[in-house]
Amino acid sequence: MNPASAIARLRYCIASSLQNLRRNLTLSLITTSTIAVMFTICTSMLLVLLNLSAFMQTWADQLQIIVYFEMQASAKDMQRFEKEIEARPEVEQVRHVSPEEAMRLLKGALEGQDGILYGLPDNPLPASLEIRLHKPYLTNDAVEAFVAGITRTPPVADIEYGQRWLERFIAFFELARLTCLLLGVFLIIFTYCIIANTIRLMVYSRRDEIEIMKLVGAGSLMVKFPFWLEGALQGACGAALALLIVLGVEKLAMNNLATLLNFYLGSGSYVFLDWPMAAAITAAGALLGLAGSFFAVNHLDAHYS
Amino acid sequence: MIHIHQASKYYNNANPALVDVSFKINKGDFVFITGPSGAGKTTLLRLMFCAERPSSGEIILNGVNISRIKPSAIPALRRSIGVVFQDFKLLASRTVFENVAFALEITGTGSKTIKKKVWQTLKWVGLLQKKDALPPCLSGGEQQRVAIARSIVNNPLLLLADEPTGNLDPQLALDIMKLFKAINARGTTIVVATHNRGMAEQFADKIISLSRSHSIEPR
Repeated sequence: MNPASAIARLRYCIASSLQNLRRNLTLSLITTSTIAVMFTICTSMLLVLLNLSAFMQTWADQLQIIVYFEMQASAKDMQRFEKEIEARPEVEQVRHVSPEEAMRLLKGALEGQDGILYGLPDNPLPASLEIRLHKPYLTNDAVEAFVAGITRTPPVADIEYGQRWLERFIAFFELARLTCLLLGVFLIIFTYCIIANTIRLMVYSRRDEIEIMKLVGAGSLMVKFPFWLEGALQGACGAALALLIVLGVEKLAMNNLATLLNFYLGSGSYVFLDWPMAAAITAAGALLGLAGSFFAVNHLDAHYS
Repeated sequence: MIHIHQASKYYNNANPALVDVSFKINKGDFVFITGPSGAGKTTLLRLMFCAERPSSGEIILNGVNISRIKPSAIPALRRSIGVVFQDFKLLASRTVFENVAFALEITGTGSKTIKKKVWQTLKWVGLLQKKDALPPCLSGGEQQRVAIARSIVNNPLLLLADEPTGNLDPQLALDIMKLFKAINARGTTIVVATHNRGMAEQFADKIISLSRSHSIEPR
């Protein structure tokens, strides 16, 4: 086949696809809207997962282990312990917090409500040590191993590192991921079926044309390609529409939620879709549409002699 | 041009549509296949443009055994064969011009060439003034002319027509036969299946009679 002929055939296929989408406009719009709804749900779930993951990462990066000293611990014992901790290879930074500084920080945190502390006869807060680990050791297992290496004997009174909270959050994240995965698979199958059935209806509405195409010498590819293109176009348009919906909702919601999210997730930790991800979602829509139409027209060779 | 040797076609391995049919058609012949309904005329034509495969026997078209042709080679074969049916098989939503152009579009012909060829063909069959009309707005004879124009726009070597005048009155049928005769005069081999023996005797170079799927009596 010479290039001019190939271009002419491709042009015919594209024109035929667009014409067919126009002819079946209602059906095409319903299908594209359904795909858009499915992709909106999938993209929203993806955003939730991305933000949970980013939040976990931010939290893990900021994770510190706090060792509380006994109230009667001597300065000498605390210094000795601090030097032992500093000598460990996992440790990036150690900061001693005196009882006075701890009280100041507490008052700062209770800004406006620090009156509740006035009745206290003495400072009840112990001195503590804030330990920050190097990045490679900021995993749940590594933190646990590090804490296990600290003997809970005087001057150490208690160790806190949010283990239970971290474990619960990881469990919640895993559950959320599994739920999203199952729901995502279900929605993908559902979308695939919608596209495949739409293309089947379009094949049915064009059965006379297909018969004549075969009769005048159209090859299998020439007959099927316009349908593949229709599926891919509907998938891509549906996914792109979903992105616009998610973007619109995000713009509206973020006006009110930005402060709240920054407070809970930490400033700058909120994640939204970037261009490569948006392109990947649109491509996924096109691929899903292509797959649906591919299997929908697979039988054409057998049905049309 | 065409050599059919002991071709048989059975449906469901039981009902014979054709049994041991053999004949030869030379290049440039105007051949009629006649016989009553159910004699196997349509089946024979369908075997000739590979819509079906014979259960046994061989069909040689221009030296190619098309009874064993690969499915991927069928489209190229069909581009050298024009086919006309009793029910015209036109696309109702496309104009006369678009219906004829359709046969060229799917072969990857450039738009300028399509325009030129379709124009010439429509002029030749006498339908140029109706090029923008939709098929339902045309008479039966005109619709059959559009179908014929579509089948010859590619300059096929062979034109197969299955009861092409079955839906037309005698005068229109005569006009269509004259058109076939003119196409034949340009060098195209024509095979027409019809139950109208009188018409066959009036126009045919050769008549092949089918009876109960079996007998062949070339004239």
